[in-house]
Amino acid sequence: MNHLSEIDLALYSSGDLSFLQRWKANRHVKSCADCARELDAFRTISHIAANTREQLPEDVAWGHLAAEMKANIHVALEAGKIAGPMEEPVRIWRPWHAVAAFASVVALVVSGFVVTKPASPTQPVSEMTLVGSDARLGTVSGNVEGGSFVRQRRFNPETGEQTTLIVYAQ
Amino acid sequence: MRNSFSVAILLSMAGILTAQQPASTSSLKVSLPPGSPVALLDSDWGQSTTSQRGGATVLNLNSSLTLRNTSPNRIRAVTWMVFSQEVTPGGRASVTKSNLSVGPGESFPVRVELRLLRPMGRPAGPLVEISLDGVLFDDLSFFGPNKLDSRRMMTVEEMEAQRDRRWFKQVLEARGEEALKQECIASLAKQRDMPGLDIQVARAPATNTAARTVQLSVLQFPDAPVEAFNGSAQIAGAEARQPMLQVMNRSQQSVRYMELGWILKDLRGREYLAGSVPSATKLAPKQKASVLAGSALKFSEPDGAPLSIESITSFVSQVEFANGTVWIPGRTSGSKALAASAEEMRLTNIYTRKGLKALVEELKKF
Repeated sequence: MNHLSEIDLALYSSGDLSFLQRWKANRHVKSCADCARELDAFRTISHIAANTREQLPEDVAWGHLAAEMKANIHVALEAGKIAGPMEEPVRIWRPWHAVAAFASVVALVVSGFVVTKPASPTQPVSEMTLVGSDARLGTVSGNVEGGSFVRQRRFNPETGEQTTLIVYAQ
Repeated sequence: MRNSFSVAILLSMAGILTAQQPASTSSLKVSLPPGSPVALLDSDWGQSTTSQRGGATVLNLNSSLTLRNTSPNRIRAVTWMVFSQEVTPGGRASVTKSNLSVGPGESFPVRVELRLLRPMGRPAGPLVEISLDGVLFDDLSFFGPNKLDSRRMMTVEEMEAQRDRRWFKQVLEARGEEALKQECIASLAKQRDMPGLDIQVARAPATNTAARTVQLSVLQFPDAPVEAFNGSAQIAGAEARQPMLQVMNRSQQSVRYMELGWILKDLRGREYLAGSVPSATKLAPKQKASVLAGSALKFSEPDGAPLSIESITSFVSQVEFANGTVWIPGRTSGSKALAASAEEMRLTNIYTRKGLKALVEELKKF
C-alpha cells in the first residue's frame, strides 16, 4: 500500500488539499490505520502550532529587529570592502544574494525568538498527542481566561471506554 | 504563503523519524499516592520507543499498566498525570480513562498511548512520570490529589453515562423492546448525521473584514442553573469572532466553572454537534456576566473539509458549583443537542454488533 507523504498529510490536516486530492486522501486514510494515526498527530500539532502563533506577544519591536539585522548585513558588506578585492574578482554580492541572505537572517532570528521565548503562564504546553486506533471524538483547544489547553477525546468501541488527553499550561 | 508556512511548521515539528530505540525502563516511572484504591500489578513499557527528530526527542509512549481495584467500590474512571520534565517548563497533561466498570478485587489494564516531543538534553530523573490524579467510583465518590481538577471531568462523564443508561432502561421498561430498538436507531442516526467538529479558541482578530453579525440561538434546558441569553457573533467562514453570550446564575449557589456547547448549521443546511468550550467565569447567585468576549471560535471538520457557518446555537452544557457538585442537562426536550456520551455509544454499539437481546441483557446488569 502506498502511504500518503508527510506533505500530503500536513496539507490534508490543514484543509489545504484540492478537492480531488482531498477525496483521494480521505479514501486512503479510511483504510489505512498508520496514515490515520499520523493524520491525527498532524492535527494535534496543527492546533498547538496555531495556538503558539496566537500567543506571540503583540509588543515585539519587529521594526527594531529588522533594523538590527539590516545593520548587521551592512557591517558584513563593509567588512568585505575593507578586505579588498580578490585577485580574481568574483561578484559575490549579487542583489539576489543580498536578498536571500537578508531573508535567511530574518528567518533565523524569528525562529530563534520563537524557540527561545521563555514559557509564559499562557503559553500552550508541549507537543503531546494521544495516539492509538480508537475513534477520534474531537479536539477542543485554545486559551480560556488565562489558561491554555488542548483536550482530545477518543472512544474504543470494543471496550466502550473513553480516553481523554488534556495538555495544560500552568 | 499560509500553506507554505503551515507545511513548514508541521514538517519542522514532525520531521522524519530516524532510528527508533526502545525506551529505557529507568526513564519511566509510575507512582501511586498513599492509600490508593488501586494497586499496580504490572507495568509494561515494551513498545515504548524514543527517536531523534531534528533537535527534539520523540517519545512514543506505549505502555500498559495492570492495576487492581483494592477498594470496596466499583471504579468508573481513572485519571493519570503525565509529566515529561522538559516538554515545556511547567508542562503537564492528564490521561483519563472513563466508562470503566471494575469491581472490587478485579484487575484491569490501562493503556497509555502518547506521543511526546521534548527538546534534546536529558535532565536528571525519569523521562516520563505517570502518577495517579484521581479515581471515581460508581457512587460518584472520589479519591486522589485532584491536582489537575480531574474530579469534575470524571464526575460529568459518569453522570452522563448514568443518565443515558437510565434513559435506555426507562425506554425498555416503559415502552418495550421495539421502542428500545427505535431509540438505538435514532441515536445511531444522530451519531452519523450530526458529526462532531474540532474547536479552537483564539484571540479575536483586530478587524472583522468580511464578517457578518448573527444573533446566536440559545437552547434552554428547563432545569439549567445558568441561563444563557442574548448572544451574537461575527461570522466569517468557519470562524465565530467576538462571540458574546450573556449568562445569569439562576441558582442560589455560586458557580465556579461551566462549559458552553455549540451546534452549527452550515450553508448546505447540515448540522454539527461541536464540542463544549470551557469558561472559568465565576458567578455569584443571580449574577449576570458576558462570556467568551474578545475571543474567536474556529471550527473545523475532522477531515479538514472547508466549513461555512450559517447559524449557531449555544447552550450551557455543564455547570460546577463552588461546593463541587455538578449539573448536566437531562434527556428531555432539547436532548437532540447532546452529543452521545461514551455510554450511549457503548450501548448502541452492543445493539449493532450483538443485537437487541444482548443490549437488553446488558441493561439488566444495572
